[in-house]
Amino acid sequence: MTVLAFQPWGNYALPLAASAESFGVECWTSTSSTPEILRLGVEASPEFSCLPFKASTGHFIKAAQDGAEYGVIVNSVGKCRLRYYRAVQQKILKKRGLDLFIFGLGYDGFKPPLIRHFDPDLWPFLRSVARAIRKLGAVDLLEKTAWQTRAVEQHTGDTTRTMNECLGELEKARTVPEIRALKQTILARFETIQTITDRIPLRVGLVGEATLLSDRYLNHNIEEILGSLGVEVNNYFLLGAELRKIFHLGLRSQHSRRTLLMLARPYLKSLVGGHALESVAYTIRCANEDYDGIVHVCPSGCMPEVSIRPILRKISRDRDIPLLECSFDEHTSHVGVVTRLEAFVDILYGRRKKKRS
Amino acid sequence: MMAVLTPIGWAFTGDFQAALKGGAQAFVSWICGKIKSAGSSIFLVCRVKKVLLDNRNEAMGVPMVVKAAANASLLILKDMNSAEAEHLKRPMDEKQPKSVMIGIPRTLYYFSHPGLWETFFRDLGMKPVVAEPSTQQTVERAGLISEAEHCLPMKMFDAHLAELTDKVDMVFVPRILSSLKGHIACPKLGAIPDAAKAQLGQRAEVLTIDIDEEKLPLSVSLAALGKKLGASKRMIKAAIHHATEVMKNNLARLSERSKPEPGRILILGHPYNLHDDFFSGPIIRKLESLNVGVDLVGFDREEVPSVPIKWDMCSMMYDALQQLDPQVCRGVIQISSFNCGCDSIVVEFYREVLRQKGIPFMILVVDEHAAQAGIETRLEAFVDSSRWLA
Repeated sequence: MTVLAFQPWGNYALPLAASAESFGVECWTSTSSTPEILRLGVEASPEFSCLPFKASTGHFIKAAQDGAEYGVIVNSVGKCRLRYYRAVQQKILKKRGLDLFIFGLGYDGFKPPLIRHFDPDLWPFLRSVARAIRKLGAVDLLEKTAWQTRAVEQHTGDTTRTMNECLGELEKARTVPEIRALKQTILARFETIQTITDRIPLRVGLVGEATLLSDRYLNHNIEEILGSLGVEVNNYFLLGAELRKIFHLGLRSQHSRRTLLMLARPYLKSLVGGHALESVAYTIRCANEDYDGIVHVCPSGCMPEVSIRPILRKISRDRDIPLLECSFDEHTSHVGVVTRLEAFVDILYGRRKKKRS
Repeated sequence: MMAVLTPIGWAFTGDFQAALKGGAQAFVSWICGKIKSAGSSIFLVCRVKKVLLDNRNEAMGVPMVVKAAANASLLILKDMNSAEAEHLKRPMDEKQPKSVMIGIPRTLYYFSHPGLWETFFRDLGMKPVVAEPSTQQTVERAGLISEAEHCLPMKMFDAHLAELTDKVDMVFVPRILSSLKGHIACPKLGAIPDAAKAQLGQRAEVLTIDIDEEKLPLSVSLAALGKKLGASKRMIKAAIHHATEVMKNNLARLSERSKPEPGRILILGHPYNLHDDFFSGPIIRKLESLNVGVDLVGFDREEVPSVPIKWDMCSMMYDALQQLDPQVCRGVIQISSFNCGCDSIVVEFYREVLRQKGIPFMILVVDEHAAQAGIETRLEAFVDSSRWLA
């Protein structure tokens, strides 16, 4: 059976894999990078390329070694390096003698080359897309519920365990009714987790670059670290919202590009590229909604995110909201990240105490 | 001047503690009054060659010529060519409208649009002030004040802005989204006006304009800028014509090649690295001292045939590499700045082209800590090994 490797994208690997079922292929993907993948990627990539590039290069090399023949990656029309990922990765794979063809997803006419190549029948294809959309909704709901529960859980690790169980079942679910039934049980399952009732968790917004926000290995599991410190995070990267934005659905929704541009207008009057506008707009939204702090996550040297850092700092000063800037590369130490997050959370608790007294 | 006047003022009032009423301006108006009442005139910005005192003695310190007059001294403008003297002989009385000082950092767009901005603003009756050329001090300052993960030109940009804020009324930071039709600029350039505003705050006004040649030609954007500054339509039109003419000439001059003799080395790099003497000067001078002919990649392109690279400057460089003749070119050296996002990816494309042509390729990354000895050693090794190849 043909093996198709998907770009790693956190827990969203499940819906992405579901969308390709009708192609009659086996999917090769994972919900997070691994040390081995990153090692392979760092060896093969240009020295100064960014961490997401290195990770996804490693991902495709590993897939090719495991026998995958095709790969899929988002083919951006944007301004940052993402645009060239596919072309450069194809060169790297060829140089290493690996036979894996990478499809770019989207923006190449009405029928993307991926679909043209596999040419699935219309109905099975639409059905698998419908399944993927259902799964996407379920993953979004899981993530949101997990953030809230983890901050108040009695025994550390309960939430993550429940979440992994749900994800496992979601992966197995094959039909729309199954997925719908599973989705309905999610809230109930999380409610069984023992919680500390008298704790009012701190609220922290996670903004920044999409790959890092969604890949647990690359961001050193920042959501769980913050959650176990009693912080309710709000990760502003949700693939559902992202897709709606790309396809211009829900123009009035609070995640649409128009709304974000209006929001960011006093500080940024351009799209810049990547998720720079989103970072600025969501930072302002966090300030508007009285969050306790913001953590800005980006790969080291990320072109759009680094160039808007002075703006984020200005917002932080103007609106009196603490901002932690974390940048990650392959040399980032896990202990260093934990220490910085702990110190940041300590400061947030201190501020809260001061405010109340 | 103030160093001399202040003690005199103190002695005059007999009060060595308190500042004079009216501040430093008081001295100036006092001395102007004295000079005018003596029937003499005042010249601004004079070069003093020699000072002759009443008893024909020369004053200490060399360059002054002063003929002693009744009460005030008249500065004589000798040994100067007429144009210079004419410029300096502008009496103070002629009330000139105070022109707005506009600061332009000597990085990024100063080099990618050479001469355009200064000419344009000067023609509109403003006074463009270009920041001093970068030096080691600029780099050190940049390291202190700028964002740590920026590429070097962006850090230099911040340092230049900081230098300019004290000198000028406003700084000019365009938002360059595209400077070539069908291409886009580096995304960092899309955020700099907002970032500059965030960094400068109240200290200086930021003048900005969107330059997007993908949608609008440069002249239309410049017209909008002129309108923003309140200039008349005719003036704007003339200024645009003059400024783009100057830019085209400069670009052509910078990309001029000497005759194609074999064994030359092509230097690749973004305009702000290539034409900034601080970055490229040592490299070019070293190559010349090794008796190697040096060509700089040119950016005087109106359009570029379809290439896989979308970034404007990078696609021009890629196209230049594709047209390179292996018989003429002995090697290609790229001057890249540390943490440059564009270069980190497109280097793979360059390398592929050059490998096909069999031309040696070397990347020199410059950063705050670039050591001259290291660069020289690498250049010598590159030139030596390319000699063996030939």
